[in-house]
Amino acid sequence: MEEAPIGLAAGEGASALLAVEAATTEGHAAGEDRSEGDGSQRGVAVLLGAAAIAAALVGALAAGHASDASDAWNSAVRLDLKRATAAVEDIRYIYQAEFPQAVTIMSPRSMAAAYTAAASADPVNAPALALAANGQTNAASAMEQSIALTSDAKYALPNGGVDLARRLADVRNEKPDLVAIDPAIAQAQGDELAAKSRWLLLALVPLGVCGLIGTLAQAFRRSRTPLLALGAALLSVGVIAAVAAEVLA
Amino acid sequence: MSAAGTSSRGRQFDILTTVLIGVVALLAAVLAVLQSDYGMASSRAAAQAARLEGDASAKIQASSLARDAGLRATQDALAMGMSGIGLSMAGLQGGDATAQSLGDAQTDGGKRLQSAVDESVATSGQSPVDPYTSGLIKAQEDAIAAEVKQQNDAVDEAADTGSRSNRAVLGLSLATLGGVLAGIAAVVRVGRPGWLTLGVAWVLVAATALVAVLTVA
Repeated sequence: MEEAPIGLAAGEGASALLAVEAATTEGHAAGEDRSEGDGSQRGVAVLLGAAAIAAALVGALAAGHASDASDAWNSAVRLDLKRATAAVEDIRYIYQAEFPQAVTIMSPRSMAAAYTAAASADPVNAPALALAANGQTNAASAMEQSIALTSDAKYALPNGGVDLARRLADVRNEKPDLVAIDPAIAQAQGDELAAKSRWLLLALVPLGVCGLIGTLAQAFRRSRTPLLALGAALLSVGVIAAVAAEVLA
Repeated sequence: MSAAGTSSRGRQFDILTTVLIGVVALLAAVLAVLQSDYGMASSRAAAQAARLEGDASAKIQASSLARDAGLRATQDALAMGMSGIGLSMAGLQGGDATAQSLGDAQTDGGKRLQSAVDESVATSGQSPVDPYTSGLIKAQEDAIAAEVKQQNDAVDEAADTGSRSNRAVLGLSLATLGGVLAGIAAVVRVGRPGWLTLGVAWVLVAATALVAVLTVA
């Protein structure tokens, strides 16, 4: 949408320059020096005006993209912090809240298993060991329903441990939008916009040189016509480069 | 002074003024490019530094939480085993076979608990945990140190490009001042004040060019 004014400005500038050159040629033919001077001065004014408009539009576009790039990078920072905070909070919940409780339940379970094994190997003390095993089993049973890590069989491991990874994955997947956060996308968007802005800014250089050439054309009257042609060429290069950067980059 | 001489000086004055304006336009364009480019580089590096800082901090927290939880559970298992050894020794000394048997079983219970804890801790950061969370839990100290170094480099880059961007702004300010003086000179026209104004404007433009070079150097 914003390319149209550039093209328009360039188009106006080019047609005005053509008109001026035509006027200049006619002036030569007629030998009217004053008319020639007026026409070429108008050409300088048109060239400088067109270059200024094109530079302002290109600069505004580049600044807009640079601002958007900065926004995207800052968005990546925010997303990164949001993702990290969510992940650390889930990890904290599993490792500081659930796992210590699970260990508290794994402890009587282990004891019960050890007492039961000892009771079968030691018939003399078997009653005492069985009693102890029973007590530990009851203690474990009373507590194990309090947390998912020990109450849900899917987290149980062969040696009496608990599957922390599976439990953490389940807790994380309770909020899938937080797991799906990918700051790299915003970062890549920022990089893309910055590249576009950079290409647009490079288009400002021929426009700046065009400004210099335009003032030289004003200062050096004898070389005005070739300088105007060079300025118009630079203006065209700048505008084409800007449009290409906006569309292709 | 002859009319021809005055006219020649006037012509020189006009040429110097118009060329000055052209040079100001060119320098302003170049400086605008530099300022924006370095400004963007500074913003990107600062954002990158903030991201790396947050990531390193999250890795330190997450890996510590997982490691500390494992260590605390190991302490519990050791305490249980040691308690069993104590009971067993007391039974042995007191001639209480039941206490000794209970103590031995408790020591075995400690070993079983340790095995269960090791089994649990071994799953930390494994599948099906998402890769990002897994990376936080499994982060090693050397990897975190490397990330902190990267973060420091990004901070340095942000500072360097930021100061270059500021230098370009200084150059733009000087160019603006030079442009304004050129305009004033054009109004004042030939004469001592006009030449003086034009001279100062050229000095400012030269300073602008120097600042532009220093911005890139």
